[in-house]
Amino acid sequence: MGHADTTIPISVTPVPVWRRMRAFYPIVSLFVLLGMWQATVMLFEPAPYLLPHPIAVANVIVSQFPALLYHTGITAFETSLAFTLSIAVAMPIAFLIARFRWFEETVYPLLVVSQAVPKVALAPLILVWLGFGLSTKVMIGILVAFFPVVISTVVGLKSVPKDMIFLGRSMGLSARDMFRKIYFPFALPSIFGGLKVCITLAVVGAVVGEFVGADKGLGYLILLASGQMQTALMFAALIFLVLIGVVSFALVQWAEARLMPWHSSVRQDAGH
Amino acid sequence: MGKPVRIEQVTKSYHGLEALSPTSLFLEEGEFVSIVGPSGCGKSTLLRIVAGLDTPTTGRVSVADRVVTQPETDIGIVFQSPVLLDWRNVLDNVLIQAEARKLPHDVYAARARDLLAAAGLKGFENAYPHQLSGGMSQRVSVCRALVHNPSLLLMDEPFGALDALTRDQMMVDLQKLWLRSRPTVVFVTHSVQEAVFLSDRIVVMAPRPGRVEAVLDVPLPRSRRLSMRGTAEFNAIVDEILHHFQRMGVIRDEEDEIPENTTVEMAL
Ligand SMILES: Nc1ncnc2c1ncn2[C@@H]1O[C@H](COP(=O)(O)OP(=O)(O)O)[C@@H](O)[C@H]1O
Ligand SMILES: [Mg+2]
Repeated sequence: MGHADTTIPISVTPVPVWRRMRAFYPIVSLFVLLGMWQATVMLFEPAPYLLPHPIAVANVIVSQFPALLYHTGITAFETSLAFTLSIAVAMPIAFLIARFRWFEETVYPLLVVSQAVPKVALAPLILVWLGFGLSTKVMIGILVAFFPVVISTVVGLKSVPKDMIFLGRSMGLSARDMFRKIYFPFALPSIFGGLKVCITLAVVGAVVGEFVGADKGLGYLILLASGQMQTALMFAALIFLVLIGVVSFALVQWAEARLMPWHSSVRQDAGH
Repeated sequence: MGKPVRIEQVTKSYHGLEALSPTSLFLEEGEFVSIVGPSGCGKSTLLRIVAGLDTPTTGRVSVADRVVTQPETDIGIVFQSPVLLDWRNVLDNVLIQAEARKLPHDVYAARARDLLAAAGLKGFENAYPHQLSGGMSQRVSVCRALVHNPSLLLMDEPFGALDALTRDQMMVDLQKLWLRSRPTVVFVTHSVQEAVFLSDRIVVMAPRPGRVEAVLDVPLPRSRRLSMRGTAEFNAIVDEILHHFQRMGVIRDEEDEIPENTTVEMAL
């Protein structure tokens, strides 16, 4: 008595330093990409309006920095609003689908069919309905981005094992506590899977919104630069767009690691 | 201390198919009863009905003279898999019982630590389930089923997924923990030896439709030691159960005869 059958170390086994620097590999691939770009320009000498020199792009970024920052701020704001409201729309729908049979049967098929509509094609219609303001971009963002959150949340809530539900009921958990203490935490890893897709789609939605009608934001800037054949400026805008995508994705990942340190998608020792 | 459980003419049908034909059984308070039988003979179904997690098609179950109509809560359940909550550490997994029942945290935290130590998990209170082996996880789940001192303990093949050595240890530890508070236990197992070692009585069930084939007393003194498995008394009971299975055609020996001191486990 008094001995555990297997000794599993609680501490994490040491990982080599270079592997712990998680930025290492992406930085390498970024530099390889830049090198290929530079090599292409030097080898084939394309017209600058087709493929600008990396240095030219860097120059634009420096000279146009305040304007780029301003438009980035606009797009980032639209994206975060679209993301937040996507969650606000998707979660209740998902909870109702997982909880009530009749709701699932009436709403779910409709929702799935609605996803067959290319949402980008709806952008001009939204523009007509909501005008040139912020609401159009946010609405398009929500339309594009909320569905993965519904799916991932429903899947998460529905995959709670039967025995775990039995356990909760045998403890006399109220419906509310059942949700708080079992369903929601169990579904969280799956929900975050959906949130990661949602955040990238929210950027797409905001830019599409800016394409159809805007006087600010990175989408607007790209369209403007395209019209004036200012390809270097377009590249600069694209780089800032990528930054929005990467940073917002990283924020979701950070929240995931903070909220569920137990999960294998977050743990260092899992996988590989 | 355990409560008596009365199972009266309980049946269960799924889609018109009888999974459990009329079953009656009376468990005295604090009695340890095992159910052995091949897969599909309704053991889990019966357990769920006793727990109030499923309703019988006909008949009724009462715990301490109160008819079961909703999930029993003065109960601890251990499933075949540990069913630990990944997002809680070991201690909090055990303490969810106290939390759910609004019991005082400090008192039960002390109890939980004590139980975990008795189950050989001292020092693992703050570990997360992914850091535990299968045997350790199942120990946590046994502690969780006992921490609130329930009158009724239901276990559905709790050690089925563990290796033979771990199972022996779990068996000894379970007996020890059970003797502390003496809840009434229904223990479903595929291992005849496990059943004989642990039980006051053994219910042998037969399939298609699920029914009680025989009920055997185990008059061996407590507390029992692993070495008891070598004794003639112990093996006489094992053989008797195996004969029932042979008669049912659940297992078949080459010479249609069971050798002495067999350690055959019902790998069904
Ligand atoms: N939810 C269910 N729906 C339909 N049939 C079921 C269900 N649960 C159990 N059964 C059937 O009832 C019988 C007994 O099952 P079970 O109680 O799980 O047996 P055991 O635990 O002894 O292996 C089996 O034939 C099984 O197929
Ligand atoms: Mg079963």
